Amino acid sequence: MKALAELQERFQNHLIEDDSAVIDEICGPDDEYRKTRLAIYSNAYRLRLIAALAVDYPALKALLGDADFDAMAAAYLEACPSTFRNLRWFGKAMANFLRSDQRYRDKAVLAELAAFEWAQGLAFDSADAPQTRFEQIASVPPSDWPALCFNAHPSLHLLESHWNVIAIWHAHRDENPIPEPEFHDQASTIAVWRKEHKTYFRTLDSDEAWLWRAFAEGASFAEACAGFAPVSGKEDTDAAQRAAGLLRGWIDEGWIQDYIIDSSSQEGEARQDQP
Amino acid sequence: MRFQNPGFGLGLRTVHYEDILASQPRVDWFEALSENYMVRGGKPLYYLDRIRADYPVVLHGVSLSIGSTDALDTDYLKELKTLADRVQPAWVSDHLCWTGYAGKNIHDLLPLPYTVEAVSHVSNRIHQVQDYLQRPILIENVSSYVNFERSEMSEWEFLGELTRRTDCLLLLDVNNVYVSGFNHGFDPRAFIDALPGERVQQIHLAGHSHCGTHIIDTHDAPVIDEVWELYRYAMQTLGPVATMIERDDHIPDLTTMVAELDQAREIAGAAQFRASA
Repeated sequence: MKALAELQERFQNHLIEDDSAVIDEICGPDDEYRKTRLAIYSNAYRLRLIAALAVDYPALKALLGDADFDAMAAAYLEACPSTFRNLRWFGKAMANFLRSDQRYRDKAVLAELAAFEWAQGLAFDSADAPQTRFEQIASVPPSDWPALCFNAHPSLHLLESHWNVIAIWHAHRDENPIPEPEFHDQASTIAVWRKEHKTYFRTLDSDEAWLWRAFAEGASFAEACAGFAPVSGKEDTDAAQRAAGLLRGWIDEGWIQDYIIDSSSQEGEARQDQP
Repeated sequence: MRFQNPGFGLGLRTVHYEDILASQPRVDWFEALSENYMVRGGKPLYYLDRIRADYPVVLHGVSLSIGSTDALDTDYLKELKTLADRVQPAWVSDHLCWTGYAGKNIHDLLPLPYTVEAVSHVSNRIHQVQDYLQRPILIENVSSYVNFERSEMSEWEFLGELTRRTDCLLLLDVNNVYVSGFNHGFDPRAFIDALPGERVQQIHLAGHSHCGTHIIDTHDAPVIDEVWELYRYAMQTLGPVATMIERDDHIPDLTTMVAELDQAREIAGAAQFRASA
């Protein structure tokens, strides 16, 4: 197997690093012929993986323009050659690459747009799971509400953005001119999720983002509401109503997989409700 | 032993999902690309399940990397087995190639040298995969653009040796035989003549791109007349074999694909009629 391994190493080095050591292994009348035939593989390698990135990041491509996107994708391929069996995951490190590579790190909109597009891909084929219906939550006795805890649907992804990534994405989708990147001092929180096989996203109000994160970190309804009043700038009763309204919206949007009555946050026995 | 022949199939492609469910086309089975469905959930698996409820499905992979000198990827095999348990495919296939070395993946079907060392290596790995999946697998001949000086046998001798050593079955890609025959100057009919016919479980047909000095296997065009002729020859030589058409780019509507598949039905039917006359 040693000889085969050495051949594969040389062949792969030719594709990735343009190392020519493998050329003597190839049949052909002359070096020109051998190089031409090997180039079919090296060209296909770059074209295929750059094309895969264009599928994952269409708005990023629209923002950069075709030539700059291809150059960026080639730089990504060089920095992060695929270690995945499934091409689906090759573009996974794009946002990190754009955040850290010296050629791109000063253009922060690129990394944020990449993170937004990648999140849409994650929502598209994340695990199937039930989505709690409002009637199920409504049937919880009022005395149990303070101890309600929620589990997020696996398709839901939240990200922070200082840039107008949604406007850029919409312009690309609608085939309109791509707007200039705009920076906002206040980061907005974007939720991306899937419901009935369709991917959705929207921006959260800041108090909504706070409340969701509190639930996502395991707070019960009572615990979250206690901290929510000052965040929402409302009196306790109004804050609780606002929290209940937001919860209703999340349920309708399919963000909540299931809920638990957490006995540790109130007296009484724990109960697991299956939607 | 071969599996039952389910007839004439098409590659399952995203753009056809709704049309397949709505029109129930005259297609006997579908070939699903395994990696497209090695995901946790969502639309891909939803449609695969629905189409599987109406049609037999086979799984066709591109990432097994049976010829790589890296260790077999057990995570990949586990995912493949999970998918096979879900789909209950008529069979599972992949390619005679390697896709990467030292943990990297090129995402291409890279050629092997046809050496005694390689045939032994690949045979051992086919045994391991078949033991893990608890089923014989099909190995497909790829289109290639280089031959290696160190090769000690022909591609068809290599494939034949694999079937003898492992009891694996063959997926004969007639377009790939034509492409590689042109690129390397061998007679594609000699390739088909030399195969152990009783091991050929499935046939692929596809289009390609002719670049003058060489042909590239692009799956982006209809099957050309010369490949249909070679298919006719394969049918006369091998007898009835499950046949499907692959199209990965410039994918036409389902009606057009079904019409192209009907061409395969006609050629296979005529070849069998001639063989039995």
